[in-house]
Order: sequence, then structure tokens, then C-alpha cells
Amino acid sequence: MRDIWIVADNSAWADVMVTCAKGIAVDAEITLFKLALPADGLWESHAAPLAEKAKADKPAFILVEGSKRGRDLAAQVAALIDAPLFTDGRNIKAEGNTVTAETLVYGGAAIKTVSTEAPTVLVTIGAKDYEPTAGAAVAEGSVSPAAGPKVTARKPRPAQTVNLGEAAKVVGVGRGFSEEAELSAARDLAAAIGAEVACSRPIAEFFKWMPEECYIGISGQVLKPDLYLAVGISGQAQHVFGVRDAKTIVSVNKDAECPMNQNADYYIVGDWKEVLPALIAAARR
Amino acid sequence: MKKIAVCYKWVLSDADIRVNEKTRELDMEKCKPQISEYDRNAIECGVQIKKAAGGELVGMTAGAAVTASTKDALSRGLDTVSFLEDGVMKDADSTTTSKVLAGMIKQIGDVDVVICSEGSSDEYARQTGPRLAALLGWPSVSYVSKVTVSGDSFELERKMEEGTEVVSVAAPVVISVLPDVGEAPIPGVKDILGAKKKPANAVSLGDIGLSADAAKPLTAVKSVLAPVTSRKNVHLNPDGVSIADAAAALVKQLSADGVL
Amino acid sequence: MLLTEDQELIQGMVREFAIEEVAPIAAEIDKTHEFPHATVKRMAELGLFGLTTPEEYEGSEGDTVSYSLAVEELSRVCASHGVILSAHVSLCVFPIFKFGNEAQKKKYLPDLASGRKLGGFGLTEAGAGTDASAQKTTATLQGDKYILDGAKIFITNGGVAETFVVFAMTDKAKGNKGISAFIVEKSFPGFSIGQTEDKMGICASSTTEIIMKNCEVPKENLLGNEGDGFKVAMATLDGGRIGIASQAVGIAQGALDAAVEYAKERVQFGKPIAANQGIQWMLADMATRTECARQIVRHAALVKDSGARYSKEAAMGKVFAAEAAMWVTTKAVQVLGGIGYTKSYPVERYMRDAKITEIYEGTSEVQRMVIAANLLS
Repeated sequence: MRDIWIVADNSAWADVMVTCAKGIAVDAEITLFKLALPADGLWESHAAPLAEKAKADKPAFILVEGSKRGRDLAAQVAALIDAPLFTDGRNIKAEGNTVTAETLVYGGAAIKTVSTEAPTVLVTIGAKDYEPTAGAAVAEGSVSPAAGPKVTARKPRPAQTVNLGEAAKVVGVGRGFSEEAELSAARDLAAAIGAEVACSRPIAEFFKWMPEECYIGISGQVLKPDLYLAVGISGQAQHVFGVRDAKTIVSVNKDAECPMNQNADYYIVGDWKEVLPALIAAARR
Repeated sequence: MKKIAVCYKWVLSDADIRVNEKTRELDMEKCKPQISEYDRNAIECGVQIKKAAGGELVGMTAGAAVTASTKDALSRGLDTVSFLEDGVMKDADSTTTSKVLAGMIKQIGDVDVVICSEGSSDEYARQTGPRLAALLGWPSVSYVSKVTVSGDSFELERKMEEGTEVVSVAAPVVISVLPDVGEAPIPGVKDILGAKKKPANAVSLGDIGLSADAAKPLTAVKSVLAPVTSRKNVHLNPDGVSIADAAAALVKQLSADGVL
Repeated sequence: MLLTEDQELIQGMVREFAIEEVAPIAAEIDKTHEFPHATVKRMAELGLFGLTTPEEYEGSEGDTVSYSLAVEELSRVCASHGVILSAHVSLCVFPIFKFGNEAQKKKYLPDLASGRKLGGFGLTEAGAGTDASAQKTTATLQGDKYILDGAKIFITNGGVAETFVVFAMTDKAKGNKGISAFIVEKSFPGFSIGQTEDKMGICASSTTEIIMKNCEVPKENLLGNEGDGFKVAMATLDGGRIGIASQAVGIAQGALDAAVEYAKERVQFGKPIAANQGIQWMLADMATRTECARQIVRHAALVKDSGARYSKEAAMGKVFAAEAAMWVTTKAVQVLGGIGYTKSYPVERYMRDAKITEIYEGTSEVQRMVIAANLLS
């Protein structure tokens, strides 16, 4: 029977991690630490108190939400109790005293399988990596945050007009487009098939043709749509990672050998200027 | 500021990775070593802090073969570099790396702020900064997109999923920064040739009071393999098939698959 | 030869700059013939115009090998950028540094080494190309000024430079020994820029005529002594050869890179054309010639840095690299076939750019004369 702690700031995260915990050990004894965001302090200020408790109770696993706060907190706890931490760990297996997990390296180009004999193992869990288990009966744990840096303001991001995470179909645009005005062709396609529009990182970060929450990648949006249609995207590992679990990937790129074409279920080699109108026409029929 | 420490990692560039199609193993032979991309932004952040608040800008790195990195690092605005080159780093995980760097930081003393990038381009574990903070007993502020320093205090803007979190903290502190903190300029000839005049200090495990046993990794690597592409990889317009036909075939197929 | 750590870092820096900042505009400026002011300013910021000039004159120091690497890496992406640098450093900065007196060096080198001002070299005339001694431009001493009269053609950086090293006859009777060198500023009365050449290649490099009509040059601007001009010109061109040879190596490498990439992607008869031995052998020959050119050029740079005479090595490097560049770029267009002949790919630009390297700063024929003279003397 393994003691598994789950550390989250809301139920949505908790429900995902419950599934993960049950996957590690079907009879796991789960304790949920639902820690609130302090009004004028960092969420990560729960790290030291959590570590204290972990030293005493010695759980087999501490699963932490794979958010930015979660990664910071998990790493601090790991250092304080001298334990290993698997960031965005997947395929977590516990056999006897050995725990193995998979992480992604080289921007998603490779899967690293690691093992440890450590008595307590921390893992941050990706939001989309497990289906949520709602309403599971779990024990509740709590700690109070320690003193720490002051948060003097929180400025919410302007409301997203799209929720890419919920979109069943997504059209992605990349550097195959040379001007912002050209994106209208992709938007027309998206409208024709009922898709949302997203992009590769340079389009948002460098050219700023789309807001940052629209870029797909290992440090951006990680999506699981039914259909991902990449247009003019070369398909660097960091980008492909963001849609690796899409049901179907389609790519349109004039470079036959590009990674996006090679990582697609279906691909058309050609200039989007020709292909998109043909697709729109076909979709409308 | 007395000392500003910036940690950087000497990594193999992932641009030239080859994959053995059969075994899925990675061939890194053509990959050149370089300073991890986001670490350059971290160094530039240090340069900006030094400009605003003074102090000595010290680069820190640890690895199995890092001597070759020092000139490159020194050409980017650092005053000095401390480096630890030891075989124990060959299989280092985040635990080892953070313990070694913490030891190095304690040993040079008088450090007011440690700057790390969000994560290295190879592992991207994103643990080093916060781990360092915990080991040093200092606050950790991560995902920092903007740094404002006044005296010995920092105002740090964090870019979180839901928006910005503005944090006020006094030195000493470990900050993990996003590339947003500053674009790393390409070093000029004077910076490159001037690098050899700046000190690069070799540090050993003994110097920092860490035994190889205490520094050993808690994890072991079982394999590093490229994922098997399980995609169908169907080329819809090989020679002779028109774009119009390929488009029609695609729409038909996607409808049949139930995704359109 | 293997590079030192400093040389490798400089090479890497120029490569990064060239790929990130020059490559995106290379095709466009070739089409518009627009002088790339913005990237040239960045080159100045990076200290490239001060390569080989000592710090006391605001130079970034650096050896000739580093300078050769910089020209090569720029030219690999854009030959125009390569010659903008080369003409400035080899043909203007160098003669002032080597033959100027302290006052002249203090006055002109800081602006040139920092890149605040660009430099040019005025030797060639309509009637005096390879036969440099057939100079018709005259320089007559009148009080405290030399009055220069004449016109120079094919001046690289002509339309943008502010400082020129210009050659003129001070004593017609003495032939070669009657030529003198002068530092001429664009702002001197009587100086004007003439027509701009519309060239086959290196289109973004400004190539113009410079005209001197009763042009007043202060007598302090005589470079060396009266009659030293021919010596100054020849010594300058020796160094310039290393620059142009480096440009040729860069052009060849850029064309080779494009050909290799294309050969791997282009599928005919069910396989990439790179699978054909014929193509493989072409690429192998292109690579071998490029590497040999590179090594002789770097060797010439090393010999120059050692302080020894290097005319022969520089001439060998120039003739070999230029001819290699012409050959390699022609083959590159061949590898790409029909599409290589169009502007969709850069190889036709590389081929147009390569041709001039066989001609300027001493034609391949002149290089052979220099080498033969070295062998037979």
C-alpha cells in the first residue's frame, strides 16, 4: 500500500492527479493537499512546511500539479527532502523499491526513461496526461504557508477569446506565412471546417501576429484535439510536442522532408496559397 | 549588489541530432557544445542588473567537460567565471547539479542574487533554480519576465498561466528567468578577444566541501530513445496527383475518420 | 590548419550574425541593389570594421585569420556584405595604418575602425586597370594643397564611403615611381561621386565612379612620400587578395551548402538525386575544391600575421579560390537544375557573385604573373 500525496491549488488539477495516483498503485492511500493561493504571498511558500511534513510522514510519492507554481514548489520540496523529481513525468511505474518514469528531453525529440530507488519520489503531472477522476474519496492534508516574498499585485491576463484546450479542431500557422495579412487564408479555412486558429512559437513571440496563449509547444499550449492541421509549420520537436496526442495530424508544407510532414498522419506537399483554397472548396462541398 | 551569480549549462545543441531509425537511439556526434539558449538570456539579465545596481557578475557552471565554455561565457558580459569540471557530472541529475552549484555559490560568498534560466535546452527539467534556492535557504522566484532592482531589493514580474504576479523580495534570492527578461546580444569582436583577460576559476569538489558520494545522482538513466512515430505518414499528393484531388481526398478521409 | 579558440569564437559570432540578420535580406537587396545600411551598422557595432586595427585607434584588434573568417562567413550568406567589409578593411584601413604617419592614423583610423565612416580605394581608371601605371589622374602641389584631377572607376563603397585612399601622378616623367597616394575625404572641394555601376553580381555593394576636378587635398594627406604610390598600391592589394579570396571561399561554401541540401530533398525516379553517384561525385569535388581554397587562404593569412612576405601565398589563394568559386557555383546551379536557374533558390546569385572574384583586386591573370615572378626571380 503506497502513500501518495497530491498537491494542487484546485479540484481540476486534483482530479487529474487522482487518476495518475490510482494508476501507480490501485490501492494507493491518497492524501490531497489542496493549497490555496495566499492573498499576498507566493503559493510556493508552502514548500518548506510541506517538506517538513514529508520528512515526518515519508510518503512514497508526492504528485504536484504541472503548473509553473507546481514545478517551482515541487523542486523546492525535492531539494529540502533530498528526493528526485520527475518533471512532467509519464508512465510512472512502481515495482518494489524501484520507481521508473518517462520524461521528455531535447525539446521533445526523445523520451528519457529514468529509475530511482529513493524512498520518496516527486512528480509533476501534466494537465492533459490523465483523464480526471471526479469525486474520489481521498484523505485531506493541509499545511500553512511559511513567510516569504510578498506578492504586491496580480494582474490577470485579458480574457482569452478562445479556449484552445477545448477545441476539437485546430489549424496551426507557422513561418510559411510571410505577412500577418496572409493569416486570413488560414482563418478562412478554420471557419470552413469549424476550427480554432493557433500558431507556432515564432508567430506569437517573435512576429507577434497572434497572442502568446495561441502558440503550441512544450512551453506553450499542449493540446489534444481530434484534428490538428498545420500549415506552413516546419515541425520542430518543441512544437510537435504540443500536439503529440492529437487524434489526427495533417500537415501542409512545401518542404516534403520537413519534420511536420514526417510527423503527420496525412500531408500535402505544396504551397499553402494553392492548398488552402482547394481545402476550403473541398470542405464546403 | 556585491555579487550577482548566473548559472549556465554547457549543452550539446539539439539542431544536429540524428536518430538511428532501427534502434531509436540518438546520435549526438554532429552536435556542437554551446551555452544553453535561455542561459544566454539569464546572463543578459545579470548584465542588466549589474548596470542598474553594480556588483561583480560571476558566471557559474558545472559539468564533465566545461573548460571550453569559459571564454564563450566571458565574452557575454560576465566579469569572472567559476567552473567545476568533474566526471561525477557526467550522469548528473537535478539533485547533483543543484548541490554542486549551491556549494560553489556558498564557496565564493557574498552572493546577493543567483540567476538561472527557466530550464536547459537538453533536459528542460526546470528544477535547478528552485532547488538551489531551497538548498541555500533563500527564496525562489521563478518564471520571471521582468526584473527591477533598487538597492538590495527586487521587484519581479512573474508570467503565470492566468496573468502576471508581481513579487517584492530582498536579496539574497534565486530568480529563474524567462527569455523575456532580455534578448542576449551577439558578442562583438572586442568582447570575444577581451574574454581571455578575465579570470576563469577552476573549482573542485574538494574546494566546495562536497564528496562525490554526497553529490551522486538519485536517478539513473535507463534509456534515451526517439519516440516511435505512430503517425500514418500518408503523402496525399505524390507525383501526378493534383492539389485539388489531394485536398478532396483529405477531406473525404478526415470525415471517414470522424475528425472533420 | 586548426583555429584557435578566439578565432573559432569570432567565426561563430559572425556566422550567427550572418544567419540571423543578413540572410533574411540577402535575396531582396540583390534584387533592389539597395545598400544594406542597417546591417552594415550592426557590423560596425560588432567590431568587424576594426578587425586587425589596434585598440589605440578604436580597433577591435584581431588577427588576419580572424578577418578572413569574418569575410568568409559573411560571404557565405551574402557576397555583397563580404566585399563591403573587405574593401573597407584591406583597401582603406590597411594602407593608412601601414603607410600613414601618426597624425594621419590618429585622424582617420578611429572613424574607420569603429565603422562610423566607411572607406574606399581609388586606383582603377578607365584606361588603367591591370596596367595601373597608366594612371592619368594628376596631383599638383600648389602651396599647401595638392590639386587632384581625374576620375576613378569601379570603386567599391564609392557611394557610401567618406574616406578614400586615392592614387595620382605627381611626376609623369617617372612612370611607376611618379605615382603618389593620398587620403581624400568626400567633403574636399572638387570631389564628387559619378555614376553607379549596374553589375552582374554583388549588387548591394555600391560601386561608383569618383571624380576629382580641381580637388583640393591638404598636403598633410600625402600618404608616404611622393613616388611611393605604386609601392603602397601593391602592398595594399596583396592584403586585399586575402579578403577577396576569403569572399570567394564563402561564396563557394554557400553554394555547396545549398546544393547538398537540395540533392537530399529532390526526388526523381523514386529516390533523392543525392543517391546517384554522379551527383555524389560532383558534390565531393565541390567540397574538396572549397576546402583546399579555404586552407590556402588561411595559410596566406597566417603567413601575413607572422610578418613574413606573403605575396605569393596571397596570389595563390586568390586565383585558386576565385576559380574554385566560379566552378563550384556553376556546378551548384547544375545540381539544382531548372529551379536553380530561377531566383527561387540562391545558387544563381552565388554564381553571379562569384565571377567578380576572378577579376577585381587583380585578375586571375595578374595573380599568375605574381606567382610566376616569385618562382622565377
